Amino acid sequence: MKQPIFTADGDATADIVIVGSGVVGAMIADQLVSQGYSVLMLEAGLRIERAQAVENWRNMPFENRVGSDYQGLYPQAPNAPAPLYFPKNDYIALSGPDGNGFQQGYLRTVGGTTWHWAASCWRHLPVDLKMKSTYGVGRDWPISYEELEPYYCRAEEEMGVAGPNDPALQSPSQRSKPYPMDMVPWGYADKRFAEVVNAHGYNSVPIPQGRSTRPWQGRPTCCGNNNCQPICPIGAMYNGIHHVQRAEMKGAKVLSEAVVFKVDTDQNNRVTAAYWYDAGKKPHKATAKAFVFACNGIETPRLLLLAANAANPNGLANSSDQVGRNMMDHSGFHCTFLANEPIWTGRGPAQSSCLVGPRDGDFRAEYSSNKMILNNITRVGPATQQALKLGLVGPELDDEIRRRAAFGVDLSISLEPLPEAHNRLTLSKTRKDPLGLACPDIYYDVGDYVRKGAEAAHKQLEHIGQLFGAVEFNITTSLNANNHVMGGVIMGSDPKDSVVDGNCRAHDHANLWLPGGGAMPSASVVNSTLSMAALGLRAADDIGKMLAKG
Amino acid sequence: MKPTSSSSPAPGQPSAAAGKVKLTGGISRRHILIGLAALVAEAGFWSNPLFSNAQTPAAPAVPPPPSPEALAFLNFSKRITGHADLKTDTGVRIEAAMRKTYPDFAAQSSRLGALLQDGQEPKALLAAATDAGLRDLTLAIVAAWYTGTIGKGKQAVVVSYAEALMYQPVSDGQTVPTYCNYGPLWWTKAPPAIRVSAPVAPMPAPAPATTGTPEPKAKT
Repeated sequence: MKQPIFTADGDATADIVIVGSGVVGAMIADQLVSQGYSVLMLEAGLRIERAQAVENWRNMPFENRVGSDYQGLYPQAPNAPAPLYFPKNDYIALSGPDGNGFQQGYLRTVGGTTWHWAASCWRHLPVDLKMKSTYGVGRDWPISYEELEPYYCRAEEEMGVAGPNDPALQSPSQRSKPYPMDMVPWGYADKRFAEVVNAHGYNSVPIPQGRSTRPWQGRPTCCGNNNCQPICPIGAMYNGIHHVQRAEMKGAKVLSEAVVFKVDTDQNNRVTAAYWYDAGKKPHKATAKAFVFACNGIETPRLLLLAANAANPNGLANSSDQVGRNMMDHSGFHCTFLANEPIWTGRGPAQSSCLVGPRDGDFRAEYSSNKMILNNITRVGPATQQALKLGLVGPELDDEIRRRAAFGVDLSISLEPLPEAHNRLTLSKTRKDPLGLACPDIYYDVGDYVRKGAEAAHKQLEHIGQLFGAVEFNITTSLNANNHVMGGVIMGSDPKDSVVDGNCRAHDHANLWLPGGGAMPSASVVNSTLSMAALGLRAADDIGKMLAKG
Repeated sequence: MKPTSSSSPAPGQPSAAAGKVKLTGGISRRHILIGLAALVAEAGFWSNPLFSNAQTPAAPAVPPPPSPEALAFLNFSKRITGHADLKTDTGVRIEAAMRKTYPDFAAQSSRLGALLQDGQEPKALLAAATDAGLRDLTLAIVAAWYTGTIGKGKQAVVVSYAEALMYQPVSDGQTVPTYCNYGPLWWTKAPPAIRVSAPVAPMPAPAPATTGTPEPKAKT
């Protein structure tokens, strides 16, 4: 077991230094420590205990819980703020026509934001990697689906994904291996909803999920606590912490409350050292052969910009001026209604079925695709909020809660953004974090491509509403964020207009990898985590190859 | 978030998971306190996975007896909610939180108590409270029992979680989130009979909260 070496002062030397301990960083750590390399992970945030997070959630006011305050239960390190919304903090300043639609909820904690994800493990479609050559919009990836596919298989294995093994229910069906576990079984709501909408081409399919349908590598079988977001109480859902713990058992070292702020490069522009502040604001130096920045689609470009040095005056990896540009998220909205029959969502995991009929088609030359998730978190909270507003008491109140919870539907619609250079993260000139490091500013405008896609989705939803005889049919008017942050260190074959190559290696630095959502050149319309993990595994292979050469 | 002191169980007190709450098994804290021997007969206790790891409190702190005002509040609460089985210690917590949140609470609570009549339905009691100019406070009391929370924003006080009455109307078909009451993959079973009528016309309620999208509040 090879481990990082620390000096008496707390400086460190390792084969690989990974900044960030979320799903991507932790999975890379596990890969490389398994190959016999010493791995140091520097995590800005705190280490979280699952049981404490569950208790914190139960102790939060109703208003926070019903408002999906998935950030509030996770304590933040004093030196590493992340966005908060109840009330808002000003860590990120948003501007532009859709700035309000880019209010992300990511965690800076050991294990990362998958602490409060819903575990959807989608693949991109093959065509999603060829948007420019197929539809004339966006960008092509420098790698093909066929090159990425083995990594999707490995990522599914690593995360213990339960997905449909019937090709008719897959999206996409181009797969070389079956899912490690068969699909999370549908409850009545998923079955009934699919039965009604699939007759009209909406193609509701099972969501592939990082969730155990049988005991899996120390994870228990899901028992439907209906609390995937913001915390799975029993660990049946995959979290990045699972790979953190695996890597630690093999000798990887994780330092929490370690905020990286500066990077040294040599005459060949190879990264030689990263510096971090410990919890007491004391600086330390980490030396390594290979460096990975996998600290989320916002924090990775922020760190690259913060780490500007004499040889890289516009920021690390930024000779293209693309660091922080092309920011993307699956901006979305919600549709709620009361059906004319009981649907009974709220039984089982947070989400198990999704309408992917509008996921692809020639229309993508003109406007965004969409997907529609049937939310399955209990509607009791929203139902109660409404029923109380109606001024009901006694049996009438109880009946109204039951009616709204059982007949209520909440669809979460995601839209597909295009990478646009003007959607940009920059460093604030005025706002600094407690360490004096500049906070991020983000300009965001989804553009007409997404706006037209939203209009198309509205029409589809009105049709779906009719199929269910919808009462109180409502579509939210403002776009919401979905925490699928992509694009800020975009991948491409040309170093002039992209930040990393097809292995997520920085064009400018031969020993720096920037895997994760930031590298993705197209967003598709599906949750980004499985693609991020696949890119992380591909980067890990590339790092292993470089280290093996010595 | 750091829980407010009033919402955290005190050290040594049972947490929600250790039996403060009533769930589908029909178990109350009293059952826990009776002792294990008496519980052997409670099939529901052993069949409810929630309690399989519950510890019998070694030396439960005996709370002080509730004040007459708290008991009167509890009585009013039972009548306005139509739930006769409300727990005394929760009522005490809600009454204390409402005293802090509503300046005139003591006097108004006393006026509410005077409105009680034999055989009165909850909605008749609400009508009487409305006539007395006490509708908002009455609905706030109902909201406290249903949501487990009194007040808003930083002043919010959490008094209950799983015991919040909102979960009861669907307890035959859903679990209280975070709890695992029915075992692995339980949701594949058929949902219960609906028992309530289908919605036929829109009601004047605001659009519902949506799941997974934070509804950011103004900076305060």
